[in-house]
Amino acid sequence: MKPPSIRTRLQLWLLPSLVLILGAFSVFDFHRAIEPVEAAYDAALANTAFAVSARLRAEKGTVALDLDDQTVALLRTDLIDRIFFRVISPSNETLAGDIGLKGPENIVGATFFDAVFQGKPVRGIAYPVATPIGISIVLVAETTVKRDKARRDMVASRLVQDLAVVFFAVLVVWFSVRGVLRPLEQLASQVQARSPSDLKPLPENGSPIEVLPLIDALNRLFGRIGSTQDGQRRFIENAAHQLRTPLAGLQGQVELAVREASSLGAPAGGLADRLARIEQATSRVTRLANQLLTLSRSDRPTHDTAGERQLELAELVADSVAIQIDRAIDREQDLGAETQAVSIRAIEWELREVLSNLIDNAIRYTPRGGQITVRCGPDEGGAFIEVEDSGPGIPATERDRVFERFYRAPTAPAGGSGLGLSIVQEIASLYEARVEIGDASRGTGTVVRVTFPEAVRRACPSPVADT
Amino acid sequence: MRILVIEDDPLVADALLGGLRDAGFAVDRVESAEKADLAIRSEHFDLMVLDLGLPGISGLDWLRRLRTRSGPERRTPVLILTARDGIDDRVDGLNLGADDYIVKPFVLRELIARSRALIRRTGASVSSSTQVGELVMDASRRELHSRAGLIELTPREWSIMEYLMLHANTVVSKDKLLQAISGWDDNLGPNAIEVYISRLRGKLEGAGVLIRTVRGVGYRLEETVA
Repeated sequence: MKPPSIRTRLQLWLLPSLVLILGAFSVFDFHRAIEPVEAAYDAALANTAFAVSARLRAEKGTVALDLDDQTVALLRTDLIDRIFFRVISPSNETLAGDIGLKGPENIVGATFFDAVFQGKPVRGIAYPVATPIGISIVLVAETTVKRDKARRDMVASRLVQDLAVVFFAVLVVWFSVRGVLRPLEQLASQVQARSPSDLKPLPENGSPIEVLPLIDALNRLFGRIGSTQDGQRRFIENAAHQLRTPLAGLQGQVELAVREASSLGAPAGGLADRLARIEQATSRVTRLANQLLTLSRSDRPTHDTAGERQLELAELVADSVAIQIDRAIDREQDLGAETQAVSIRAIEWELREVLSNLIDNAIRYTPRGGQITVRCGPDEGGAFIEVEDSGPGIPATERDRVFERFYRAPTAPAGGSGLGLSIVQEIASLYEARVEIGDASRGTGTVVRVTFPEAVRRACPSPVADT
Repeated sequence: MRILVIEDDPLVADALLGGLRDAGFAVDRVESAEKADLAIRSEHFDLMVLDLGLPGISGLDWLRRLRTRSGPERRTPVLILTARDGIDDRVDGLNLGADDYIVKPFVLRELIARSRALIRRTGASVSSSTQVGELVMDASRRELHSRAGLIELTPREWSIMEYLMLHANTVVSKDKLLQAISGWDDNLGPNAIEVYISRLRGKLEGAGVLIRTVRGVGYRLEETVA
């Protein structure tokens, strides 16, 4: 169901009532305007009747009409209408004129009437004349051609005028409704255009008084959401920090215990194995705490660019490889880099997290003896980072899901958290970078490539470095 | 070699003490910056491991004060420990004169390796002898000894070897090695480094160390595990 619209509602109310009111007024107006015209025509009829009545004479107990043909012709003369008359004696004989012409039944004084004569509508007057032997009646009538024409002309001119009034009224209503609602629409598009993490208060200046409470309410809501988010972020950060110190203690103690157990020559499968497992669990918990912390920290508004610096990707790649090289050596993997010089503007720890998670995943998923190559370089105005491994590869059906938090592919080895790629994705989105999963250039294996758009790379055309 | 650990958390401190003592260092521990002041007044340390989250005076404040003191202790290398891995902390710490930085939780093995590297680098500028595994480098005589005896090196090989030993257990880029020998010849390309590395590998056979290639990144001098 469509939600109710203020504009439709306003227009539904305003438009029909305007048309009705204007219509009623124009009918009233028409009648008022046509009345004097009709009265003038009627007066002309009355004059004719009066002139005829002046020709009546009383004569020896009867009534006679002194009317010659010339006068009759004059009487009947009209440019447009045909004029009829009939003079009736008190004894109800027709003294002169058109015999079929009939007046109204009751005649009190001069009485106007409408009738049909010879198949045409006529307007007439019945004029009673007192004679010594009784009342004679003079009937004068005319066809209604000029009256009809006057009425038609009147209607036509009124109609044009009234339609114009209605048209302009509708126009005014339309535009004023639009104008009144514009601040609301502007507010809506302003809110809509925001990124979900943008919680800056909306500007109040220039908004009408009626919209201010809405803006005020929205701003207070933004404020509350913002402080809730800040609180959550602070809580997660504090929690992760609080976890780190005891984890550092645990990590160190376990390491020492493992070393002591092996120096005591504890038998395989016994204490030494258990300690080794505790050590693994400790590093897993550590990694999870770090990843949760990273996720909570990378949950920043995209416009918050404080802390961004121009960073040489090749240096970060070399550093990240150096940091993880021991883990790769432990797994007899050949971890290396192929870098081309390119620099982008970013926050250093975020890029380090992207690299560390991609390399960590590759080490985890690539079997012993495999090869992992980290690359970076310019890419169509932007820049890219990619990690290629010789692992089993990610089936095409899994490639979308691996970005979900905590999702782990059915074939994933134990020990992962399912957070690595979602961290990569989340940080990439801060830079509007694309993350794509592809097949390795040869054999099985996966390439995960992060492509940063041109905007993130600020020109740094240096030659290809061969390190 | 003597190390002062400034850490308030007993569990972490105990692990640090155990690990560093096992690695052959003499270790003292204090739990606050105030007590660290007392300790460095009377004793000499080759390295200080400083936790940033100390109660009372914060680690960063203490470090800032240390670097402005007049005694020789102000030049003692400092390795910072922190539970925060924000770039701000790191920049602050390094600006205030920390020599290295490690985030909790850490692997003891790495902390020990970094401690050794720090002591080696600052120590080399003071004394003139550097040791990695069984390999001893005497900078004043420009001599490199293994257990089997003197290893003869050309001047360029010496420059590379010196750089690798001062940065043992860390990955060193080809560019850095090129800079180390650039005084000799400006026309050397990265391929020259490969040549020298392969010669050094030959000469170091059986000396208890190895030069590992990290593909596309550089080289790392390591002690071979016995």
